[in-house]
Amino acid sequence: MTVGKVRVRAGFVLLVAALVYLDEGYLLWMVVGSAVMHELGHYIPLKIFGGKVLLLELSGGGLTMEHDAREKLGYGKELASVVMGPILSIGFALLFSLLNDMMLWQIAGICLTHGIFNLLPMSGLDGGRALEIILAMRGSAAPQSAVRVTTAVCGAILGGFCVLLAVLYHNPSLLLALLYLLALRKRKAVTA
Amino acid sequence: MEEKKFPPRKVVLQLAVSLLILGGALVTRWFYPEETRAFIRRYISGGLDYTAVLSDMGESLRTFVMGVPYPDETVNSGQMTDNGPDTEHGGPGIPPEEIIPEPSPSVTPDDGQLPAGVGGVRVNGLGGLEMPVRLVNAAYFPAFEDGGDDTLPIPFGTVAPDKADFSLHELPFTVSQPANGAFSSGFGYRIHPIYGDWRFHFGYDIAGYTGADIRAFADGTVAAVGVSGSYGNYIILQHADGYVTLYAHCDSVSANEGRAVSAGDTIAKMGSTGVSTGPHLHFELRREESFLDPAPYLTTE
Repeated sequence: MTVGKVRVRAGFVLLVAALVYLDEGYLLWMVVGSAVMHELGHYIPLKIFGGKVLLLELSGGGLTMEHDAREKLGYGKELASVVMGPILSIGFALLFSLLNDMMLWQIAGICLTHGIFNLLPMSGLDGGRALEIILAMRGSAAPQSAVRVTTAVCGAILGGFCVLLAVLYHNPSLLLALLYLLALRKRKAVTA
Repeated sequence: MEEKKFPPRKVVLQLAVSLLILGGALVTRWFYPEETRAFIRRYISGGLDYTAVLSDMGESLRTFVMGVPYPDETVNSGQMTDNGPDTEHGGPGIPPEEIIPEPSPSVTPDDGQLPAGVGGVRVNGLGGLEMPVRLVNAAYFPAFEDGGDDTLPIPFGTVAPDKADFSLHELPFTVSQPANGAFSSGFGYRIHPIYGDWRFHFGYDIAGYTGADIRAFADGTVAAVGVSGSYGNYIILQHADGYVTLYAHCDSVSANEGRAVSAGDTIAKMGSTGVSTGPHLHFELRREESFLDPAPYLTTE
């Protein structure tokens, strides 16, 4: 369902339902806050440079912003807008970690995870996008195929880690999350 | 208008169903016991406490940036010294085993002086008589379930240990319930659920389920976190004016030593570690050498 520039998918509502049900404290709201801060990191430079947000999609995979930076702004400014998201996340993590409060430390942990995870050079994440732009700026002919390779490598490492966690520590949560994200990607690929 | 703009019925249907599920999640969340949720959480997390992991990450980041580990300004407010807890004065850092050798119930040669009771003395020194003892946990002692009056014979010569303080203190801070759950065993003598003999119980037990929140009783600092054979995972908080609280049998502890906590902060998860027959919080309120009866300050049913 699309209202204005915001598109809400059923998967997003289900994700929120699952989190609402399982969350015992304020984790859900911390994650939401962290996501908003992260997107603000993308949005502010985009606005400053005169770019335009075309669509904000809330899906089962989280928040994604479609914009016209590539067409209108050029590589440098697009890169700035891409990396500012994780930078702002990590910045907020630093800020919250300096204050002496357990709950703020939790938010710091979430922001840090958010920032670092998004910096992984995988397609669909900020890191992958940034890598693609950098390679294109350097005149690489096929930046996307390079990103595909890094995506596969990172995916294999992450997958291995998740499997280890599930097998050794009986903690299948991350493995489930990974499979869920994979399923989403697959579906997107099919529909796109 | 919108119908025309968004013809895919499927999308609308998907959204409607997912919203319904969201509503269901909210309703079950508020109206259903937490046990199921805690079970699912435990199952998919393998018992890992994510909130603790996240706050540890934040704390490590602080250490990384500042170059020093956290405990600095707040730690010395209590009886902690730079060399660790002050063990001479019954400080909070004393390993629980050392301060609480559970006293032998029948042999306590004493002058017979009894502390003033609060809401009725539960234990006094007259042996052989039937004393009102508010102690028995129906779950531990099914036989007493219908007894109702909690009256049990106490062996001859039984006196409350010196360290037990039944008087009502005016606590210099506002307090918060350390856990939700059912009262299961109070301060006083009881037949130990595992050892089967009469022992003085220095704490107040609140039975719940594994993974339930354990919250700070009052503002303070984490004085110690540890594991002991009898207490299992425990955490000790130092409060104002020499008051100390201990939370034992935790499934996990989520606060580190030296950390400042506010009343009501979640500091641990309920469990059944150590000498315990089921998930519960063993809560102790101490001041210097003595152990207070926590009951007057709690509202657990």
